[in-house]
Amino acid sequence: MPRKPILLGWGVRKEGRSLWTRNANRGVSLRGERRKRDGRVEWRQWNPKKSKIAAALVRTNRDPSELLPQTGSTCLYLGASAGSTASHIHDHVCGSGNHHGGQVVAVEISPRMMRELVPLADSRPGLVPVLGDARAPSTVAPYLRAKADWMHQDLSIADQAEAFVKMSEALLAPGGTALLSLKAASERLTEGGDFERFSNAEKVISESKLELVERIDLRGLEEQHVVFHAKI
Amino acid sequence: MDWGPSRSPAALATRLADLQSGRMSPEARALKDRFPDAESNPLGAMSDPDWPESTPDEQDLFSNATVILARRGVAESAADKDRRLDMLSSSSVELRAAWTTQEARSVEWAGLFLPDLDLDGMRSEIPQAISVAEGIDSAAESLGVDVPKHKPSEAEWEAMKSQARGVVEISSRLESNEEATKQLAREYIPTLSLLVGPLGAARMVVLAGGRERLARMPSGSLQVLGATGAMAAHRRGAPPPKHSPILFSMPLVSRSPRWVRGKVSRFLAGKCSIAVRVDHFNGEPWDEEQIAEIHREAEDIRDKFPKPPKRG
Repeated sequence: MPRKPILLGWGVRKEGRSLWTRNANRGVSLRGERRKRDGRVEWRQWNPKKSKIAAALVRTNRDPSELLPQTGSTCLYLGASAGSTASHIHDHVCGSGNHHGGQVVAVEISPRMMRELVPLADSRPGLVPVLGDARAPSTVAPYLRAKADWMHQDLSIADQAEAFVKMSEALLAPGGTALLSLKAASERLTEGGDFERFSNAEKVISESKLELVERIDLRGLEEQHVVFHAKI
Repeated sequence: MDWGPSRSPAALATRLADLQSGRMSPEARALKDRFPDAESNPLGAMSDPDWPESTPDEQDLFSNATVILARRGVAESAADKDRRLDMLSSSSVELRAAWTTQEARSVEWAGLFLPDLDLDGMRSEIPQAISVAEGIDSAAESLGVDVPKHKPSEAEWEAMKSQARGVVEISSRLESNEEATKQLAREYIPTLSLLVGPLGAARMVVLAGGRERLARMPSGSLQVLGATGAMAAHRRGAPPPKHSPILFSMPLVSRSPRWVRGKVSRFLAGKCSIAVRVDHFNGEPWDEEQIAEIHREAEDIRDKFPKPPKRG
């Protein structure tokens, strides 16, 4: 008997252990994800082993829908890479043809990755590609129509937590959700192991204006990674 | 304020690029001139609740402009010499790796059929001779050895010959590739190229991930740049590496006795680090005379320690 899907938001649902988003670009898979039809809607599978947001949705101990942006809101995605995760966020926030009027600003510094992101933005209205440094608020600000309601940072540089705090304090609207994907291997080598580095980041976040909601360990889906869920 | 006739995606893209790089929009500048005491806030528009919403037309204009700007940025990356040097230098490394294995195979293959062939003395001529010969007999003749007793079959000879052709071709490709690398390196990092040779200098920049990053690196990192295996072993308790593969490729290091290699490469790494800073921060490139002096100094270091240090 098929399991009953649980809706986590307008465009995201969970069926058993797998996550699906309402495909905004019907008939197209980005990286060969599975697609399926349910009535008039096409759903596209969201792989938690390839996307840290999806992994966080699976692993969180709280209500997973708290991690997702509101449909039609303004979202900021720092370190979008080729845009796989950003496309799922776009599915949920903008919908097909951006009929929800959302905005997903995807920032990426590497021209090589931007090359993949540009055609994606072409086929998905509402997704804004930005080539620039995701650590400087002024490079991102001209593209945002208003302060962001939701942001996610996924950079592989040292001092991610400091950059995260700076960006979210500058660009996040009051009450907004901020997610930080932290990769231990990107931080500088310090005494102690990955645990030390995660605790350091946690300290940086809790000493800022942000309020730390949860620290989600992605072990098993994405090694050496945690996602910090914060609010402002 | 109305923008007038220049309201196009391309014009908006240029405008966005200006804002992104921290410049003020023309309107903001006009206002700033009129009210010099006012403080400009690039993030102000976002927190202003009365900021007008854009119309659907303007939203379209905006999304077209962002795509144009992103495309422009992608195209602009070809102007980055670091990326071009990376392509050239990495492709040289790959070609050289391919050449080594294929050349060795070609020589061994010929040696199997021609037992009298001097594989060391004639090494450089073998692939060329095989690649142009009609058959194994004529190859034996052109290499000056007896006709072999066992001959390869027709198909086998074709395979052997085309493999040898591949070696000859890869040699010429490697040559032109290295020539291009040298040219770019001499232009982009002249001082470092003089000091460690253009190919080594290019490799250093590529390993560091760009000239800027190499210039900002401490010379201790530069000394072991590329010695990844040795550094990994060092983290597990082995003694630290004395030099990177690039420094080792210099006769000053590799031809020196074992016990001074560390001292010489430490000295050279320091000089390399200064050299790349001269190149990156628009200093005056060193001339051959200054480079020769550095090499002399390195030789002095080597000559100061003629005997290995006593153990214990």
